[in-house]
Amino acid sequence: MELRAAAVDLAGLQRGLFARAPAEGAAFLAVEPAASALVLRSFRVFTDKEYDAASVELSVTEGSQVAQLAALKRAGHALVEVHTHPGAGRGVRFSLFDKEQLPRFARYVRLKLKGAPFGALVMSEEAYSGRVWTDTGVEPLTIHPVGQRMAIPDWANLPSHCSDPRANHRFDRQVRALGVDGQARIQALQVGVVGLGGTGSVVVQELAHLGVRHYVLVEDDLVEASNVSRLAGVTRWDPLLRRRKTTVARRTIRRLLGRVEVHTPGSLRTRTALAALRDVDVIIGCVDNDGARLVMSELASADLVPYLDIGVGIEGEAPSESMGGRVSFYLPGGPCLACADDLDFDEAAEDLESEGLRNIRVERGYTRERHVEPSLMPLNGAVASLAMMELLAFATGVRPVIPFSRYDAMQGRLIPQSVELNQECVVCRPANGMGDRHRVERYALAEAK
Amino acid sequence: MHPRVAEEWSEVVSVYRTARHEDDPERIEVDLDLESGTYNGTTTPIAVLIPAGYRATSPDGFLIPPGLTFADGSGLPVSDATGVGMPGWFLVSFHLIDERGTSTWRPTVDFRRGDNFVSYLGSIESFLARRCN
Repeated sequence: MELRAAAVDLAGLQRGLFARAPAEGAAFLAVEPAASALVLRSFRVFTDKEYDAASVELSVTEGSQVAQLAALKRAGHALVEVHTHPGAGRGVRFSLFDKEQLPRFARYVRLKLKGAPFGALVMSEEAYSGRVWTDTGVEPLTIHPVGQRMAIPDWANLPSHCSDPRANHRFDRQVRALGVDGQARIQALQVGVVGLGGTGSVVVQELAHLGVRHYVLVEDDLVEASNVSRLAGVTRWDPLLRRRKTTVARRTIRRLLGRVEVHTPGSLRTRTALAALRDVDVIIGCVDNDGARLVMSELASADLVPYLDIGVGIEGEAPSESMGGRVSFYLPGGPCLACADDLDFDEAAEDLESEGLRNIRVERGYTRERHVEPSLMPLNGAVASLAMMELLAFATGVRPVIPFSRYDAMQGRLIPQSVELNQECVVCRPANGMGDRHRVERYALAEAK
Repeated sequence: MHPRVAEEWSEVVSVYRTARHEDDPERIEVDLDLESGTYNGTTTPIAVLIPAGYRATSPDGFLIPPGLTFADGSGLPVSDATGVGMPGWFLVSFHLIDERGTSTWRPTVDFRRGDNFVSYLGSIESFLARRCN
């Protein structure tokens, strides 16, 4: 089983645990089941006063353990216990004492926490070993750190999964820029692209050129005649043949990469699409409505999935007074789109309301007028490419991700934005690390049987 | 239950003892007392649909069963609620917006410090007390 955790939290955990080195340290992680994984909601490192001074082995006092377990039970979280073996190096393993005590402790905790999974991790400064007890038995527990690559502590860093020499040849120029490991990390990425219009189609094309091999494409629209001027990979026949945008995107990908994994679960507001997005390495939002952005923001926060959002805008009567775009990258543990004030909740509410309610609002004149927005492929392409640069930074660590930036196409300027995590954010704070309990599937519309 | 409503539920029930949570569509129903002489009854059930985006997005309007009228027999400003999955009920036009049409809903992480279901139900009570003005 995998424990997904924000890189910043793992770094904080490491600092807290090894502050006692060479003495051992311990912490309780509050976690939540999230589909087939666990996600880290919060952690607490025990203080010096909470260790049992009389014990030869590292032991937290019964009072502290009971208090922490009670807090977990009240909040409905599951537990992963962590302790350190400073100096154990890359071969860090559970001790014989751990192996004797942990199964007993697992039974006790699972009884207290209503059968929730119980995990245990032992860490050195360089590596870790983990296991998890569930209804189906005991299995290894691995950490999946998410966030800025350079913020991931060495002990939690995952090796890249593949380095196919043939791929290296095909992607020779990229390997020269990003290295074999960087290219391998790109190819191993599972990317969810939501919206395959003006920006999404460019994103898909660039992902395919980069060599990404695993796609979840979320879109259910057909190609229309007015799309031909701005959809990458489209042909003038596609609207006449009533082709889906997903069909065009899949064709683009397969022409470049052959038979790679392309999953097309339909509209965002289906259980299938929402479930598929919970399992990807990164979501790229290429939509034109804040309702979808709110759904993706909540899903990303609940399941700790990085979410890269693209927005473009052209305003005023032609010739337009302003045109530009923005790139917003939610990295778990950091600010989200709502923290950055990039979400209009009134607009989101209208986007998400039922058709019946919308009809009533229209009838009563309470719906804001929405115009057909202007669009330019070069602007879409420019902003999509800026977003892809941040994806490269995220996947390969070639530089730190710049999470929030704005592009002013009239002035020809790219302006990085300084955005802080808003502890009062009503989107990411309640959802953060809540996994299944956030019930993101409530956004699914009733599907035809 | 919607996770944000679950956080608030004990507070809702402590203020509105008749509160019920119902599904399909997910909603809260309560019985409200009415000003005598304003309506044709002194109490009415109402229902508030829970938007999926709650608490970031606010509830919008509320539902009443058929038969509730002003004391003079005239009807409330309602629409048939069949389209929102509540056949037999009527949706009362009630929006938390300012004169520019912008939402006045101000939610916070801790529901006690900002707008929440109790405050929304309170606004409905005031609206009904003002004869839906």
